[in-house]
Amino acid sequence: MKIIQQILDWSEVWAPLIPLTIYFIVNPKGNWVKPIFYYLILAFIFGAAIDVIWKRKTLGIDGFFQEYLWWWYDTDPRSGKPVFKNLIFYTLISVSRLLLFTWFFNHFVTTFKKISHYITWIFLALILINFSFLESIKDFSSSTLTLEAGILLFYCLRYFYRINMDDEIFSPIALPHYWIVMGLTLYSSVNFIIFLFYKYLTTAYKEYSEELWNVHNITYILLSIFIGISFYRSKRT
Amino acid sequence: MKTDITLLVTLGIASMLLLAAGFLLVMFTNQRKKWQLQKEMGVLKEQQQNLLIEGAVRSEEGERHRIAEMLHDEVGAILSSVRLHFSNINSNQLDEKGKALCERSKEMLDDGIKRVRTISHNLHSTLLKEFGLNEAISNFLAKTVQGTIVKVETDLDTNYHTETSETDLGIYRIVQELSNNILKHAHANFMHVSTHIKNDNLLELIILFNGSGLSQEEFEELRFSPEGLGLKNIQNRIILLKGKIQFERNEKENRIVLEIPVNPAK
Repeated sequence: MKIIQQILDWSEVWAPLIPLTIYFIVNPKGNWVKPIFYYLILAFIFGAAIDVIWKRKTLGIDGFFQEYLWWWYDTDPRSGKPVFKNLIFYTLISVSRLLLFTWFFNHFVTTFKKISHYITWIFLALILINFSFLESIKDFSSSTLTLEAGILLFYCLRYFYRINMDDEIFSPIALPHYWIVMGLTLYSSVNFIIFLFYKYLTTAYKEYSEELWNVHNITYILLSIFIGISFYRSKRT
Repeated sequence: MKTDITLLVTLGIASMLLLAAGFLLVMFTNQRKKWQLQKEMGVLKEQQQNLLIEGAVRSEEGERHRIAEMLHDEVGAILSSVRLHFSNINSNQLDEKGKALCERSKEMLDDGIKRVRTISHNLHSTLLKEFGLNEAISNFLAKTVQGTIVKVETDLDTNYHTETSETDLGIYRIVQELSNNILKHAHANFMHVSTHIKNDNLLELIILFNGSGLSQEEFEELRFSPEGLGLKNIQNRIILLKGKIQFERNEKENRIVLEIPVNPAK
């Protein structure tokens, strides 16, 4: 059980490596590949940062953090102990995911570009206001991640509608990018609820929130696998 | 309180998951319906195309029949009547030059009558109706091709008898068109036409000839060009007969293979 838990805990590091490996093997074609590739690189970097910070004591690098990154430490209001938070990376990952997937979706729904520009700017403005006046950038921002999941879910539905309306597409699963959108739909729909309650749950029901994060990790692994399938199906011949 | 919130979150996740799955399912069903409709539309388009081809072929046959009848009954009758009048001319009263001219005119008239009859029979073969495909093909090749520099051999399956005269007519017209093409373009001096019945329901017709032939790619290309009207007609008849045609070009011997499903007479 412990091994499975460890695998799930580190999933944010190794899961993006599945599609990245496939990317380098098959060299997929298509303009839409670029934003997804950049997303995977960022997801890997931020995911690694999140897990290394979280597991720093187990990894034996806590001293490095105390010596060089002391300025990022906060004091836990309940225990009074110093804490080093990795939660900013979730915000960074969320913002980069939204921007890069907007770029991705703009390749397929051309009538959608203007709306998606407005949505992106509104999203960026809202998180700026949020972190300026309401929440600390160092904390987990349920509102940012929920809003991002909601927007991505809307983009996914918009994509499906466009595919459905296209009279020349009879087998959408034959489209490589369709797999990414299926994975993203699964990820966004499940995590919309998780992100919505997560901040509250981490303070009120810590154990349950940790269990819930496993669900997030499973959907994240599935998303990575779906991206991998998509890359494989669009390999250059 | 904890049970309430966990239940709420779990139910929330489950409903979102169900919604997403349901949406995907609706999408799949819709796409499948669309695919099914497209398939049906394809079948209908093919049926419509076949009906159009059938109409064109029927009208062509009708026109051939009309022209054949006019040639035979009107032009042929006039020419025969002129020939009869010529026969009644007393050539003994003519001088040597007049006699020679009269004889030459009679020969030319005979040739004309013969040609009109051949054209009329080619346009509407009564042989095909009365004696069947083998006899019609043999006769056509003997009359049209033999006598040119092309040597023709036939090896036609005597077991072939069909119930559908339209199939025979289609095959006959294809053979006519192909033979004319070989005569016109191939510069051949040898031609071999054979038929075989395969599995009791497939007629394989093979035409071998030397000279310059067509490859399958050239046939596909030419049948869409305005110059390839004959080839287009062949393709239309092939579609109508639900058959296949294959062209093979070789230096020594070119091959044209026709495969036509047939309903043999019991």
